[in-house]
Amino acid sequence: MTAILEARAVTKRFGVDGPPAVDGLDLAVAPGAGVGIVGESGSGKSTLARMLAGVLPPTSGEIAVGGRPWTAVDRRDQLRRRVQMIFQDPYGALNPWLSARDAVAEVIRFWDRPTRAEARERASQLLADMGLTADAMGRRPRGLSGGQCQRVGIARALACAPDVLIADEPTSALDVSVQAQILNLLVALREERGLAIVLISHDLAVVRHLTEDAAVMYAGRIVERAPTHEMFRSPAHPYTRLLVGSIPGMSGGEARTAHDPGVADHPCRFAPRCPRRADDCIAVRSHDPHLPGGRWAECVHPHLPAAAPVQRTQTQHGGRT
Amino acid sequence: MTVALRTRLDRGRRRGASLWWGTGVLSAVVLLCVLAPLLSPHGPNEIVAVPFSAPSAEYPFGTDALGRDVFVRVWVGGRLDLVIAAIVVGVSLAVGTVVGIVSGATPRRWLDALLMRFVDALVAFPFVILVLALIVVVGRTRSFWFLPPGAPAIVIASLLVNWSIYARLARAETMSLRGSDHVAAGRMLGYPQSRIVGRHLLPGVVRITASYAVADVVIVVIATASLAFLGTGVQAPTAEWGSIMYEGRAVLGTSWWITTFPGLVLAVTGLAVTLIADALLKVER
Amino acid sequence: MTGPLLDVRHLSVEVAGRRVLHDVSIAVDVGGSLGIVGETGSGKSMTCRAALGLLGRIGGAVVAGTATFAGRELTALSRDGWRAIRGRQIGFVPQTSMSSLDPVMRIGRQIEETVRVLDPGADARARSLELLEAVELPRADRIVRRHPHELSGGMRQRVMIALALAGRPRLLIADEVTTALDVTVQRTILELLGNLRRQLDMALVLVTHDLAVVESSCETMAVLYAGATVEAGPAGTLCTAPSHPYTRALIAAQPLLTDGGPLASIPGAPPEAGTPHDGCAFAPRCSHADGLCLGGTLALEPVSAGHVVACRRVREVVR
Repeated sequence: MTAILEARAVTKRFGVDGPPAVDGLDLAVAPGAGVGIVGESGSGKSTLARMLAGVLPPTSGEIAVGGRPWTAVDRRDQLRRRVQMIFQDPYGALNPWLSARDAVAEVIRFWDRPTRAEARERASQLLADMGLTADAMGRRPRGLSGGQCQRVGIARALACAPDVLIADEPTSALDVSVQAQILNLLVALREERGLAIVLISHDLAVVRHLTEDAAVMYAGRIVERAPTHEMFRSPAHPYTRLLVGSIPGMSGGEARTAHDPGVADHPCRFAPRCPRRADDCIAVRSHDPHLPGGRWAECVHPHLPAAAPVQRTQTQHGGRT
Repeated sequence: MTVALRTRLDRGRRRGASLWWGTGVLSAVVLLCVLAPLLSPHGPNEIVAVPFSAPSAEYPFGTDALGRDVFVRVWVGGRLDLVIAAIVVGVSLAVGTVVGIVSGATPRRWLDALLMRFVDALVAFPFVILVLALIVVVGRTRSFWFLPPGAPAIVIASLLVNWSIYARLARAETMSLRGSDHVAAGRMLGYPQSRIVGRHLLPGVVRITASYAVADVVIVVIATASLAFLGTGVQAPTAEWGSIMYEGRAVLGTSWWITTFPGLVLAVTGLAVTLIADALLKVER
Repeated sequence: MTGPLLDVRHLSVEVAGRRVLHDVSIAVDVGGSLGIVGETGSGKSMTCRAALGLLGRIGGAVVAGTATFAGRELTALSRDGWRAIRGRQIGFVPQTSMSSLDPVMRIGRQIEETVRVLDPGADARARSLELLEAVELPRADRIVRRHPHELSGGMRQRVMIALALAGRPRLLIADEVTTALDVTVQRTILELLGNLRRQLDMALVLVTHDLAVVESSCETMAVLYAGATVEAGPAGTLCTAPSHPYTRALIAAQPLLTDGGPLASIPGAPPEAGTPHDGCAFAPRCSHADGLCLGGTLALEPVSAGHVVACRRVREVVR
């Protein structure tokens, strides 16, 4: 299957010196796929999101949508519609001077040029599908709750009829009870519309919930790729292991606490914190990242998939049956 | 969160009061400027009584060195001051906002750099020297349309310096809005630059520059009056707050009313406008 | 002394005429750990403010209920009375480490200033180094010369904890201290708080929206909704066998790493703080509610040892 959105050896540098925010990264999104990108602050995941969405040009490398690089896609090109994005801050993502209905109708009128009344009608329908009440549609973002704003943001993206939705931390600003509503909505949209989703998140459980494939980013590079459920059951890269083990209620995974300045410019950026670091790790970039069982990790000493899975120390909300 | 709620409530209450006071007082001043000369039986340059008459029931602000009615002159002069302020602020607001947005939103670095260096040069130029130079160029006696002698130089000089402040404000706000998610979303949705500027940047930028414009009115009024007080502004015999005060300064000890009343009206106007500006600037985004 | 160290009962607080807390009851034992869980507008931060005597600054006041600390009534304390409690008996770690530190002052001076106020007998310099070591910051002698922006988020949070420890408090209240941190850093901060609690025999109140954090770090737990305690008890019991419909729904709504199935979402959104309501505030979103839930008064009723629930239909819900 050909990828609808593809990053090839993409690098992004801000400023002249310092390490790149995104460093020679490859990623392919097939139609209808669910790809999770996990990383902590500073991993470069939000920079990657904006490059994938075509609003931030990479320093080198190329991002292609439908086989054509973003640089060759004109503003009014129908390809432009195919990748849309939803944001972390549900309020900041909306124009504060437009009502929910107007924000969505604006998109419809811009792309499909229907009559004003028809655009409003379609916008209302779309917002209703997203679970917004008629009363809320007439309000500006300030009069809406965070969850409602996120629904408007999703409706506005869908008004373009995209193939890929890039979701940058779509629920991290929401309350748990509202987060579940938005996650369920995104799951339903994937099923009903065959939408591919690129989910950028620091929350592994959210990624687990919404995607089939996951990539873990550390310091601008993808360090591990795997089917989502396998990755979180038996992480191969020491960093993924640390990440999974750090979730409250989980154990396993460790990090060196004392930083070793001697490995500051190590080709493996995780080396200063890595408990499995050895002398031969210096060859990490030329080392074959493919592991038995179809797994992939950019690591010279990975935990093999057969290794003991990370442990749950607690029930992790056994109340749920 | 509730802290935010409370401060918002408090702010709302204070804002309401200062807005009402400001608007009320300013309306009264404007109304007097319009009506008082119409209701008065004599003109601003008409000699009506003995020079240096103290305030009385007939001449509430007294008379000046030539025996003209200071009350009428103050309100007629107010018209000129407010009109000059309106022109200067209105044009500065329009030009500055447009230049600022263009400078902040353009993807062409050189255009932004060019506009901003120009603005820097204007800001760095000493205002009083600019006015003096313009008065030499335009001439003290040159009038233009309804502007009396001296006024065109003031308007041109103020405009030249003033719009650049708006341009800077507009540029800064444009830059900060440009980084916001809703503008990024607009790009992703394929909107052309014109639509992003017009519908997603302009409303936010105008909020900022328009709020500043209200505060600027008082600055321009005071600048106009000060120039006249220095003798380089609006020329005699045209009435204007600064020129009336200028004429009365020599006899301040004996005929205090000539200087005091226009000064008082100027101060009250300034206070009213400041109250309004204060209230508007506090409006949350 | 018997009884809890901090015992808040039926606390009601009004701010600018709006009742933001109307029935909060929480208790933490000497050396114990309590997790307060709640969403936006639940009143968890307001409860902290009340326990620290900081309501006056935002124009709030306790209108009903009691709060005792080591047997002393807090709600009637004077300003001087609070000065002896705040910082010295009850330490506080706020959520925002960046805005709580003075950006132009070196870390060492900020800690020394606090030590001089709260612990005048101590050698400020030596004590501040000791505090930085207590929060497991390596090379404390270098940290003291840094400015806040030179530290990472996790390090700043440790500095905030060091400041809260300066007065040798018997209770530490930590308000969403790990919310802004990465999960790997969160873990180390939670471990640190647990270690400090044991070493200093200090009680801990952890305020958070994250149930998993409470389950892994606290012995007891209180769930707040719309300004009232709806359920309280041992953390393990509440997480594995919750009784209140809200707690149950909250747990079911949490995505899990081990299960990707559909989430049971709660319809609607939590009410804004101070929204008046009759009966149970959760009733409009509750799948178990009937007409009677929207009226009358509710009280926390025991369902088992140390486990209380404010729900009139709890028997039907649990079954």
